[in-house]
Amino acid sequence: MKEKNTEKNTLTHKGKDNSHYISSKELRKIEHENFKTVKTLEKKKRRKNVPESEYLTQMRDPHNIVEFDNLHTYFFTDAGVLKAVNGVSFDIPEKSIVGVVGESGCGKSITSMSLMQLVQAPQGQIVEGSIRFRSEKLIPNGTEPMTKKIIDENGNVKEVPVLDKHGKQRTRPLYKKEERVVDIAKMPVSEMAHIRGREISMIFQEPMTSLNPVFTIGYQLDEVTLLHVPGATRADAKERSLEMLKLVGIAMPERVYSSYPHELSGGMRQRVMIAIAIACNPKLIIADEPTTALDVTIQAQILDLLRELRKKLDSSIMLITHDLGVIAEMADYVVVMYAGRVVEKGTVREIFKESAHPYTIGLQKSKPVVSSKVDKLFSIPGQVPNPINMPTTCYFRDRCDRCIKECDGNYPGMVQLSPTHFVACHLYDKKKEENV
Amino acid sequence: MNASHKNDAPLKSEYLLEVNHLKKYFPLNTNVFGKPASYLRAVDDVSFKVRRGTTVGIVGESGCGKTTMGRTIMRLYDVTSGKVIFDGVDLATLSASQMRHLRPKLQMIFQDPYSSLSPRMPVGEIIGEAVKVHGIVPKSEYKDYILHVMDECGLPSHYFERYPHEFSGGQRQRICIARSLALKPSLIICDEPVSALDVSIQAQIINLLKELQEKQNLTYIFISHDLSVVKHISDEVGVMYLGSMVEYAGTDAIFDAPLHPYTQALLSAVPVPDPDVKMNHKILTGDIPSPADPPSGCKFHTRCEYCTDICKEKTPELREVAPGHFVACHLCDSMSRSENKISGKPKTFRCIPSVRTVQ
Repeated sequence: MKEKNTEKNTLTHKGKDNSHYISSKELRKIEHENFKTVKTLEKKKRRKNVPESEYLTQMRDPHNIVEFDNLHTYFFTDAGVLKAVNGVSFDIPEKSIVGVVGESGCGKSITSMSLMQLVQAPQGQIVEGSIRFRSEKLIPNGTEPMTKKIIDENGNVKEVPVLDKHGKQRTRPLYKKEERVVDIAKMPVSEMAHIRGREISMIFQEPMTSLNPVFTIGYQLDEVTLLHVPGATRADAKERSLEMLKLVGIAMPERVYSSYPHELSGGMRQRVMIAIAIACNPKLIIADEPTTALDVTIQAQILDLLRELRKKLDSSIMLITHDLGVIAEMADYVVVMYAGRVVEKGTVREIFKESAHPYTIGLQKSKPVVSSKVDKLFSIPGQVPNPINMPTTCYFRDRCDRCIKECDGNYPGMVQLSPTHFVACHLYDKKKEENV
Repeated sequence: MNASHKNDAPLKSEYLLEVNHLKKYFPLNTNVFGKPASYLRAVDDVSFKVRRGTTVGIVGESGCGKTTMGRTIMRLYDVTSGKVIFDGVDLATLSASQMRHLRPKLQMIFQDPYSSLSPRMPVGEIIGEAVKVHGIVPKSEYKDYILHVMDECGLPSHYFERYPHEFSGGQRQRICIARSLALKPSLIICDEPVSALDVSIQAQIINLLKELQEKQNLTYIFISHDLSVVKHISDEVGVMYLGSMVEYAGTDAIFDAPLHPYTQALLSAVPVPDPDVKMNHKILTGDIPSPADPPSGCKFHTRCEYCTDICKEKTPELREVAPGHFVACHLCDSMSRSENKISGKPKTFRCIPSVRTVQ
């Protein structure tokens, strides 16, 4: 963190702006404590032969594919503990699109990174809570002789056994799937490798930087199949890759297969990224701002593709974006995040038509819309509070225009407005009492 | 602010800026004699006029030349051919020193507030440097003037001695606005000023820009790829595609009744934050062609669903089809539409008034 340098320059300004000043003594204390916590957490994560019972759990609702339960992901920085994700709970049901909205720095990307166990370690750590995921473990189940199809002189398709260099027939291992529920927050890294890419895959924001420039598209696509489909040969992988490229709407799959990322445009690269993500028929695709770097016309193409793929593959999508328009068009359920916490969640209609939290309302009003006209845009005053040393009150209190006296109290709990609609705001506390 | 106007010559015309057939080509490679063999046509024959005290929005996909056009108007790039008439003076013919004297009148706000502020200068100095250079105010009033400008842009006075890295994106963009405003400009070119900001901060900056325009009668050229922002702030909108202006009209005309097929596609692609509004998808296929090797005829014909033979051969000119509404399309004309009928193509696409329908 650059926070240290920042403070040096603000030395001359006494008073309110100086509240985050850290003396060198305090700094040493923070560093020492961080070192201790991070070391114990890392040690726990790096253990070998972790018993399965430690990370096997049960789903609360069997129709969900992922359940975030009170997730806390912290970054241990030199300026103090940064609570990037601070008690997030929401579910991703089967075959649905869940949109996560929020401003930059609200922890939406870190939530998805936690789900993939990709948080920048050692300073970033999941310290509390659980992420339950319905996974399928592959268990070896005998073998099968390998054959290949060839066309003989008469034009008939014949199946011929594949032989190795000693003349013996080659075999391919067979697997059966066993469903189990795992807690990703407690899972060892080695086990996680079987889930990443195979059951949960990710589409990143920047198609320009997330492909390796020194390998061909084909190589990078084949890699997924070769890694995650046991017993797959290069020929199988290529066949699968071409099929995927066709599926994402690339007109000349053969040509793209053998080209390098720099030869493709932004929209094409994002299509390739999607092809890589769906190559193993994942149950959940995390799309982290998939269209932010793209133009509107290309964005429309990509969103259309994602919608189509969801129907074809029967997988769920966790769509992370700051664009409310994209959410309204794509998502079934919406989660609104602010400063590391969920402030409102519900179905897309509930969030847009009956939005309850002042932040959600403000966010909608501050975005100019093509189809309507206003003289002055509503703007939420102020800025997001400093993520280190968060207040104990509602984080949105200083920017809120509907503050009541309860807002000076503790952070509001989740209030249920309808079976699917939840909001964290003191304005609705009364409703909670009525329900009880 | 008004004092500077009094000293000026009486207002010459209702237009502050006139861009006539502006071209900017970048040489790509050279032949054996060292002369450029091929060009990248970043801005290819663009003309429009900007009225005093209004905002002209320029929209288009990335790579369509909107930023290059803004920079060429500012003479940050040399003009290949064409005229940029600012307040009666052709900027394209001015020498570097003449241009320097005129620069305070033309200012620019850049896209990325993180890289357009010097990290080694305190805010006061960033805002005041050009004021000192151009001698906008006497030395004795210098600090008061800077504080006044900062106050106008919503920056508290104790920021004067702080450094840019201490501020968030929105505050930095305010510093950028204060920097350009301190020179008492009449034209500000805003090159994607809100694209790098969050939605709630975007609204603050847009409101600030609008407020300042009302107060000081500023003229903006607002370059952006976000159609909803452009609609909110602009009086007139120009749509660019591959270096050319394809449609230019008042904001309401463009958004209510777009005539060019590209504008229609662009508008229908914008997602609306309302789950009840379902889009009539008009998704363009393919990507934007390379400006180094643009398609023949109408540049949009490779992606256009109404494309006819004439589109592939002849380049359409920007014509006035309704008062103040300019379109560069062969099919927008009644004559060519009747030709269309003969060739058996679908007769018309003219005026699709509502691109969206409510369920």
